[in-house]
Amino acid sequence: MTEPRYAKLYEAIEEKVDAVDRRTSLYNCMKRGRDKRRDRLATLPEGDSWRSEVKAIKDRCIDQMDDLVDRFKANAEARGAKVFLAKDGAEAIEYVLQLAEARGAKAVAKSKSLTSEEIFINEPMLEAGLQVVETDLGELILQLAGEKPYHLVFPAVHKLIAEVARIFEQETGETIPDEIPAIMEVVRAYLRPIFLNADIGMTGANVGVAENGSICIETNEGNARLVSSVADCHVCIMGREKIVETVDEAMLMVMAHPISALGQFPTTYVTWMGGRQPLAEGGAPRESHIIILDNGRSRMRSHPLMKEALNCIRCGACMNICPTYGVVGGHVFGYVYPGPIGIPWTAEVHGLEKAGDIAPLCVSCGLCKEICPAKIDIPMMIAEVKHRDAKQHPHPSVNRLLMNAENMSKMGGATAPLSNWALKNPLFRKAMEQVQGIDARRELPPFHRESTVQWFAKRNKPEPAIPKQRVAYFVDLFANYNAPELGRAAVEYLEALGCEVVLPEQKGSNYPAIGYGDLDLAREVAAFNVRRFVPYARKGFRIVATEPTATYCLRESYPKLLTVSNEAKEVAASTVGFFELVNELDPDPASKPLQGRRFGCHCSCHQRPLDASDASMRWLRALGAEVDLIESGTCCGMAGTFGMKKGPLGYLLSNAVGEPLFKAFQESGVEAIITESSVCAMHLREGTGIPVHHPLEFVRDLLANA
Amino acid sequence: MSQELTALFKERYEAVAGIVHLVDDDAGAIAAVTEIVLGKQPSRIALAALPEPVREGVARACAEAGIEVLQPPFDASAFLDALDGVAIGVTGTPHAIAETGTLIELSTDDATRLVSSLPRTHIALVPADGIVERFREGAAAVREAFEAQPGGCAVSMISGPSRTGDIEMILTLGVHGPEEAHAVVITGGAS
Repeated sequence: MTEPRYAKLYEAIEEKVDAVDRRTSLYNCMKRGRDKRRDRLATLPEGDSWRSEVKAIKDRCIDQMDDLVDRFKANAEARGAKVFLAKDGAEAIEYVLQLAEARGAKAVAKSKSLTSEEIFINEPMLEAGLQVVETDLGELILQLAGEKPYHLVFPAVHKLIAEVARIFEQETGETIPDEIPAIMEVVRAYLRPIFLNADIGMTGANVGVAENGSICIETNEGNARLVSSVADCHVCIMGREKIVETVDEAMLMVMAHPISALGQFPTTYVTWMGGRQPLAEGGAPRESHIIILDNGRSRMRSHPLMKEALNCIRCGACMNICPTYGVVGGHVFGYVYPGPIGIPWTAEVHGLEKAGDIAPLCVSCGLCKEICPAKIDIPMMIAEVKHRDAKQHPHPSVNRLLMNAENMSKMGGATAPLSNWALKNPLFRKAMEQVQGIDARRELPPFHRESTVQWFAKRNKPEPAIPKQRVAYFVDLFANYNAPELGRAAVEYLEALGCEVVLPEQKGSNYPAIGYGDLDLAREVAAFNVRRFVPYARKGFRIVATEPTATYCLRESYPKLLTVSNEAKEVAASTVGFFELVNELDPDPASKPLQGRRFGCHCSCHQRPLDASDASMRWLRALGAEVDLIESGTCCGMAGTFGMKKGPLGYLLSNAVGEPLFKAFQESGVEAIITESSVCAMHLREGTGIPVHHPLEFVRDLLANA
Repeated sequence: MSQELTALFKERYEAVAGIVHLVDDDAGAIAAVTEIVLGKQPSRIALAALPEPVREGVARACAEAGIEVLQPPFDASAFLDALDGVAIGVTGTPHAIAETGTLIELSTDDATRLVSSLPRTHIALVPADGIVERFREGAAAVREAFEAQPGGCAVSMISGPSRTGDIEMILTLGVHGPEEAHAVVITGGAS
């Protein structure tokens, strides 16, 4: 798309995509984070089951946020701390400046606090003549380089070792080899006097504990211990959403946070502080000031969708897995809070406009939600941001086109085979690219005169006397208009397994309405489909789809969109994965038509929370095939219709995201790729040159042998 | 039970690059600490929050070896300068968590925290019967410490030497604090 608003974003994406070495390094870093988390989870007897507990605790604590703030304040003050409730950044900054002046403070040593960055506190402190030094290594690197955070947990992860060495060389005048240990020696010597001479030690807090008025700070470096022990005056800036009720709840947050961030359990240092202890004997009185910041958090809490953003424990896992973040990084995909969770936070604390500027980078793959330790529905919040933003800046025309894809499909079907000729005609595609914004290089699937729905309506239905199972088929766009042979195979296979199959009146699932942020349209389509499927759900029908995103809509998205009645939940409860149902009906197929075949399976992002492709792999293996799951750990880059779009926010970025996965498939030696997603299939076919099949394509072999 | 927890703690503390010494009793602890200290030949060490018999034994051994000992009561006007020249800090950590190799240090004075966070080498003293199995069980020690101290209170959980992952997400040891972290575990003879 060529919207003027995004001109700088396009340039930035192109620049990041071009910088192949740097983005390979970023990709490897993010992969390291994902892999270490996965490896750590494998060592825990409980796996990641504690995520539900984290969510439950945060949900409850956010509900009780005001009460917990009051209790925390009372208990902290009982310990001798001063607690200041700051309505916004300006109030917090004013408090700190007045405090510094009253104390005649000259030097401030800071340990990491993204909350302090949220309110841009450093500039006013510097302007007031204070020396301000960040002691967290990542933050110090940023401070010396004059940059904003690139990642929540590793704010300077974009700086390669050699670049860090140069930064410290410039600051200290020393020559430093390009190795981390050498850099650390310099940093240690550089920061030692900063720690020891600070008048004010300023920290953030990972968690606040209402039960005893304590704050908890996690670091690996130990800098927060030093910052909070040496100076007689300690200041902590903490968002009010950080407070939980008990030490036990805080311990769970302290566990969840570094495991999610980097597979560490726990960080090297976890410091719990309440009030202030003396430093040796005969010293000056010691103070603790805790600034509890609102800055939009109370307002977030009052919105049913945005409230969940307050559950964030700042682990950064969402950006470790985000496919587009992994290419462009936190300076493009962020303002102060980067990455997926950064979008709703930016919208609420820094303004909708700033969030809207970066929101299109979210391709709505949903992986952030799957990795989040608090199970936050980040994709839906981002959709809400896009939705709100569209009131000021209308949807780009290509997005509107794709949100109305069903109309195009109907037209394409009605005008087939002419429409198919046009789709293959270079001049037509060039024009289509100019006018509509669909990349001419993207091979689009053909249309058919007779859709699956039309075929189904015309034929003579078999009537099994007592069906084993009654099934309502949610056919969605591809299997209906582009591959009716797939739709037919689905119906006939289920019937061969003894099912009665119906095709209720339906519209395409229209996930793009969520992905591109027209939630009015999304709710309209969701309501239409739910209303037509719920009678079947109530009669005991199982609901299936052959397109993972369609199943995802029924199970995950529609209930989130339609909260007034229970209907969407009923439909969701009756929805089952196509191959989960098949495996139930026929766990042990007699014939093995796929003996000797070797496939690589691609699990589409929307399938991960469903069954992670386990059912289709099991089915293929039961038919004799050898199947390996091949993945990069993140999205293939197609993200539904995103990869069809021309330009940086489309084809270019989707291919940059896909590169490592394409390579993995090519190196695997598999004869074909299997995926249930029609759109991932397009992308993988073009990106790898390997044949790609929907598992149902093999049903003909199976039914023929039966 | 205590034996298994001790073994698990040892495994996990070593996994985070800590060094574990198992000793039977106070005498063994004094010997282990003294051996580490003498091996490094520092000019000055610091002690804080140690059980009295161990403090006394270590202080005496150091005096005999001509090593200065900075120990409570600390004088506020001189403490930071004195600590800056200290290569080894020794503190008592009455609790520990086996699952994660975590020591739990309690303090009534921030000087204790600095003794374990500033010098390049930290030696912790932990009783085996203070070890709990799972991370979340450590909440009890934190709660009890805060309940016991109505005013200012601090509890420090320590899992190995200091490190950073900030450069390219590669974990590297020894940042501002200890790059060597020892745990001397007093098993009471069951080691």
